[in-house]
Amino acid sequence: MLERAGKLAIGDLMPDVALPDLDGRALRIGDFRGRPLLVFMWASW
Amino acid sequence: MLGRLLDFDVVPNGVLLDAEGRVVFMHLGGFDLRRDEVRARVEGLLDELTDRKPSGSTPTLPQHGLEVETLLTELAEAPDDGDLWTELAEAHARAGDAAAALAAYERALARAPALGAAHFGHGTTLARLGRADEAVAAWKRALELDPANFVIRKQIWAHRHPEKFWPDIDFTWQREEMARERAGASDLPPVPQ
Repeated sequence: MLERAGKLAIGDLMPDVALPDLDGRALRIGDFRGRPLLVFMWASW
Repeated sequence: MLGRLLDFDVVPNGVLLDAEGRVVFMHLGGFDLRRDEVRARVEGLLDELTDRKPSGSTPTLPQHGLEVETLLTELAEAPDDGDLWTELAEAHARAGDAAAALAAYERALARAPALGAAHFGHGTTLARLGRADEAVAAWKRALELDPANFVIRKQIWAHRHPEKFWPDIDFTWQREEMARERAGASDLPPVPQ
């Protein structure tokens, strides 16, 4: 579990974290290497 | 987790990674692909990234400097255009330069004090700088201009009552708060009926 990586900046490598998708399945950032990836963060509240 | 990683406490946000997993674009707060300029920006970057070799090469980063320079050129022709100052502020914010973004938002608002988007962005930038009270004041002004905007209202709630949003969202509290605000029992502009 990544506790604190500090603030990412343009040009930094995104750490290979795993996050749940809308269905609860774990998706790993690194699984998308080799193609661009747009990460959209929102809340249902 | 991403909140800690990217140092954000507002949503919606967009982060674009290149094929190597490198951050090429960040838009923290107010990221909305329905907005033409946001969609065009992301699509343009995706086009560039699709053509890029994924390995062994140093990524070419977006030319934020060029974007800012273009906006400054336009502002030289229209120095009182609040929308342009807001665009400049948003460009600085995307590049992670909160201080420059703040200065541009202040110029936008000095010229166009009824510009809700500028008040909202101003608040988001103040929040990023740790100036929470001023951020809430700016969001309140944005909400006064657009009282039906639930996103603005929630940003204020989240800053005033973080325990209602993290680690879990308290929907019961939100319903109660909404009822209070509909009844005008809050310092926030009433929710339109």
